[in-house]
Amino acid sequence: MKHLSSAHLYKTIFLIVTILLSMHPVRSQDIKEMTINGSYTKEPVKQLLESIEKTYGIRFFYKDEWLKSAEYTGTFSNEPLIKVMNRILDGKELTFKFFQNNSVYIFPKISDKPTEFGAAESHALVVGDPMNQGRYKRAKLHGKVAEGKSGDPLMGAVIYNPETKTGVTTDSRGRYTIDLPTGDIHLKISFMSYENQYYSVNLIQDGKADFDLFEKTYNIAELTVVGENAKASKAQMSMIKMSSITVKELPVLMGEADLIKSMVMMPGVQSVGEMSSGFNVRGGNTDQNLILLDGAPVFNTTHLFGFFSMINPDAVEDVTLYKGGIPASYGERIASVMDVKLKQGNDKNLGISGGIGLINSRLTIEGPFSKKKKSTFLIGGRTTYSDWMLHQSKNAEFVNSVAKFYDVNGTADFELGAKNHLKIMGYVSADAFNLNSNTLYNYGNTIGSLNWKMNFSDKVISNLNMAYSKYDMTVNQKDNLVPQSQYNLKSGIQYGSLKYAISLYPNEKHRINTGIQAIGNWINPGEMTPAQAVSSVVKDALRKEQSAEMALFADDDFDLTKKLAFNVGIRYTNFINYGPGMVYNYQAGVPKTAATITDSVTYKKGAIIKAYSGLEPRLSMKYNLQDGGSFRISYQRIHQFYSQISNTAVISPADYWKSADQYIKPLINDQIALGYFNNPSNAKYEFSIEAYYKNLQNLIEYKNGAQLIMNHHIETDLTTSKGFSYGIELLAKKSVGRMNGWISYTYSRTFRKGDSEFPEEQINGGSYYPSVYDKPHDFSAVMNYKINRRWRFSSNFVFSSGRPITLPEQKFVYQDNQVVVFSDRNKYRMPPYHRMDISLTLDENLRKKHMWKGSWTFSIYNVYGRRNTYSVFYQKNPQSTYLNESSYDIYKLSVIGIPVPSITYNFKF
Amino acid sequence: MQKELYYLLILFFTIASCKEVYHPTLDTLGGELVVDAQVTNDASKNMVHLSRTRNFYNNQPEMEVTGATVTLVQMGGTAIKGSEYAPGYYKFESLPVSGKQYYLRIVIQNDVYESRAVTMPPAPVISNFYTTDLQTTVLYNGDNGTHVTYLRQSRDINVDLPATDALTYYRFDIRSLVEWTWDANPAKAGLFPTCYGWYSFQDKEYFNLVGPKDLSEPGKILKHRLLNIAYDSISTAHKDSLQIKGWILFVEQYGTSKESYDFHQQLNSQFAAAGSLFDPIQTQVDGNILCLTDPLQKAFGFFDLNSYQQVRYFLILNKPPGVILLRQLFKFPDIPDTGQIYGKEGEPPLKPAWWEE
Repeated sequence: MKHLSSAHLYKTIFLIVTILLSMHPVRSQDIKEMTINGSYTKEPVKQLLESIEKTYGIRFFYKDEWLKSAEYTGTFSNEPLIKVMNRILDGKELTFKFFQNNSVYIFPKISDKPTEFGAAESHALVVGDPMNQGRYKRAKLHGKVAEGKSGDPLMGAVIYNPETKTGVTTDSRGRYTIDLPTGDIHLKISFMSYENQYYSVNLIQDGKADFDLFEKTYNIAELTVVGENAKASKAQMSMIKMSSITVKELPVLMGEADLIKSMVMMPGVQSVGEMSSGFNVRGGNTDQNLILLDGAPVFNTTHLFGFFSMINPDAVEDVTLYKGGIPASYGERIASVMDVKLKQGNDKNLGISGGIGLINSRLTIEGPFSKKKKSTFLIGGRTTYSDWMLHQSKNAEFVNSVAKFYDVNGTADFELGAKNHLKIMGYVSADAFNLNSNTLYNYGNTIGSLNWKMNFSDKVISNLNMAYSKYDMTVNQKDNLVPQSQYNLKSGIQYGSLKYAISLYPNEKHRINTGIQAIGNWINPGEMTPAQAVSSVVKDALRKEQSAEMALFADDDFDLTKKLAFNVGIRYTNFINYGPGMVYNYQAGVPKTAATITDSVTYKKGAIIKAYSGLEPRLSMKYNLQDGGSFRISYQRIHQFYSQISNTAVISPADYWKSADQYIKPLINDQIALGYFNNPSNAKYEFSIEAYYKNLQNLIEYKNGAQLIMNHHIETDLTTSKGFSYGIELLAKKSVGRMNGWISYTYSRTFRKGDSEFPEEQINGGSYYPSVYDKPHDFSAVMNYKINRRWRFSSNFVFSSGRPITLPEQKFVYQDNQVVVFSDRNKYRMPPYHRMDISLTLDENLRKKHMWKGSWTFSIYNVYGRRNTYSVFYQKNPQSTYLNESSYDIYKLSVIGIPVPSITYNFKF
Repeated sequence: MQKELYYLLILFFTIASCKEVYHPTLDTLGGELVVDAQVTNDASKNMVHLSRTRNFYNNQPEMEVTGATVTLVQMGGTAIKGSEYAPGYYKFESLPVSGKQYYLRIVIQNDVYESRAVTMPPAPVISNFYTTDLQTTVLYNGDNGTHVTYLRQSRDINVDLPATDALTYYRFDIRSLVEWTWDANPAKAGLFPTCYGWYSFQDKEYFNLVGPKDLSEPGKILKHRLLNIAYDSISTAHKDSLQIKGWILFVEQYGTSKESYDFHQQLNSQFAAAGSLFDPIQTQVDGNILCLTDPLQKAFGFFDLNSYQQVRYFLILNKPPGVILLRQLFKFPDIPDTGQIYGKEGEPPLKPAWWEE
């Protein structure tokens, strides 16, 4: 026997170990991923498995009878074992499991039994390559939830998995992403007033699943959707979100749904007056609200002096109103931001919808551009026939009157690959109004925007917004007695903006938004031209203004702990007012008047006349409480560089915009708010209470007898003031059931105080006085009731304190004329405003997939005919032909003094 | 049915909105001093009227302030005493002088009121007084609600004024008096009419003001309109058979100060604020009277110190291409605002002494 040398012995041992290890190569490797090679032609499966056993040391356990006649033809080239098994068993009623990382157990599939979750109607779905069955432990399922008939995306739909008790909601485009364990799972897809859909899903790997939902056979009115929004900050408060469905459910004048009148039903938002589309947020002026239409601002939100909103409700997807906690990406206005998103067109089918009313009608057409359905369009329009109706009368008063408007809106959406989405929006409107007077008002909006969203990756998304908005107003003054005094008065504003924002999602806890915005404004404050060739009117024009604003912003939305979330942001804004222009200098130490002008300075084109800048911190915090509610607090500072010059409390087309300059400083608002919110998802009831305090600087006030039109030195008729506002807002809401609705109550005060150094410019002796928008009590109640499958009833009641007014208190005679002495400014108050509206809707058909859907809406605005006061004024009695002291009196004007019935037919196909 | 529907819908526009008298509860105030002081270099325009304010709802006659001591004080000079010639009405013994500064002092029991000092302006002048033709198209509602247009032919009465450093502000009070006659039997028209009559027009709720903004060129204010008179007798005569004989224009011109101009501008703004759908900022009228003994006590009204002159013209208007006659009058008799003189039966009426033809 030969003795082995040491080297030879080591070699032998090494070889044995290697052989042993090679026989069990997967002890440290996942058996699933073991790569298999082989080529087979009609190979009996049993033999195939045996060859794998021998080659790879894997053991297979099964009953012979299960594989009795099974054969396989195919080639494996470095394929993972799990894939190989799926291919071998594809089409057979067998499945497999891995055991102890070295064995495979093959057994027959178990038939699906109805789970306690699954409904009678359940759909089956397989997501992923079946060949990868069992390969992954978890997978991301993403897709879209759409309205089944129209294809419209459903925002806020819930995708819920009962096995893991987790769920997500869709974003504004109906899209969702949910992370789930692989295997056989169940999903419930639900959305208010739509029938739930149930799916049994074999989730194999990451994949896409789109779902369609159909309306229930009867409608339950939907309320404010406060679902999670992918864009909303986790710590967001003071925000109202409303879908177009909610807007259309509320009864309004002449059956025309009105976005802004609907918002006024929410706490903290008040109407300026009857038939006025302007609104006040937390005591702020109407010009302190930034209203965006797909990112482009709107400068006049009314048609026909406030009868209708300029925003077509059929074109609206949803609207978000920030009363506080305004994200750093927004600025420009100190009171609120109303972000209106217009709908995308139907990406499945061509659709037509509209409504026919007593005074106006509307039509919307939408659909895909191409069969591939990667691009869509939507175009809508409204017009009124009130002008034609007036001219049918033989009465000269009505024949000479004009009351007409139209608006056209359109959107076009393009999917440029999987990662780019482009949306283009256009809007144009025109109004003409003259009710038997010498003054014809013409005004219109031209608005456009482009939004380009780019998904660089799952963690980096950018959005480019380009916006343009133009508002023009012309007043034609026609005095037939003195035609040479007829004139045209024009004013307007143009706005352009470029905004680029990047959202970063470094991990699940943080969402960082950052960006830059550049804004340009061109203002024509007034231009008067004679209307006749022979005229006593001298052509005159106020200096046009041009200005630019640049802003940098960044915020981080993050969870500090499971209970505590923050949004910390900062916005830096820089404003310049530049030439060409001229600025008057005034005598020091005396109030500015036309008589105290000492000289003027002329600025060339592009020269900086005045610049302002400032930092705007934004902070929000949310703390989740045990009861499912949350406590939130926020702080914000905002600058506003443009104000509307208006000597009326309500929006008038004759109002014009003015930018900050040497004498008019930017408005500054510091606001703090805190509140308790109890609004868990799928809850029946919701409740919130919120309190706020605002400190305001550099507010514009008007001197006694201020002349605002065509004033070449407007600064001589303006004075500055400071102010503060505070309030508490309560909201209680029932979201589900046959009867649903909400109640909101707001107690709020807002005060001003002149801060001029000159006593003669002081208002009310320099004391604080109520702002013209100070209305302490505001209450709204909305109720929707489903009578049966076809009939639904809606009602709302509103109450608010009257607006402050200034009234004559004393009188005396001077040179045979009665002269009055007015009270302190805003000392008195108009009578309270209250009103009830009702509406009844009949749906023509309820068949889910019926092409034509029509409904009739019967409504009564102001059910009990309350003569709510619109304005109060002092006037000589028109019956008097000579001076008589008793012929002067105080009057009040009510715009709507009777119940106003209306009937509207809405259709969609 | 269609027509009824149209009118039903249009009716909505008329009855949906309404304006009504509104009597809110107001604080009970009143009793503040009101000073209506019109002092000029003309003895006939020399008056201080003192009264009290009343609560807005109080329709009782105004309360006169009697027994006050009213003095016109020249800065660095003498004081001119005022005497009460009617309850609440005071006049001065002598007249102020152009170029001098004066203030008004009022003592009522223990309260002392003074005005801000005002410089008496120089005498006002009219550079040119003339008329120009004007044609306008008027639209009005005729019978059956139809609308009718007609061409209204009229005459503007204009003035040219000088503007100097010493005097740039003016105010005008204008009365136009139309002379008419009437014949009971025009077919048998004789040498005399049946009746001489006249009627006056005056816009009391608007002050005709001139200031630097009206400058046409340096040193001159050209073609400032005083009033407009129609050629057509329908607009002024009460009966078609009346014969318009002419117009007498009473033009009172005041050379005034910037403060007075601003004050009357405020009055015009307040009078013009007719109230509308959009309630504008009210115009509070600020006077120039202060209470020295109690600064918190308010006083209203104005101490208006102006230079003054009156001019009169006689005007005959005939439709073009007829003759336009404009003749200055140099006698200023007192003429009532309105009147009629009939003769006794068979006898001619007595023509007024001031009658111009």
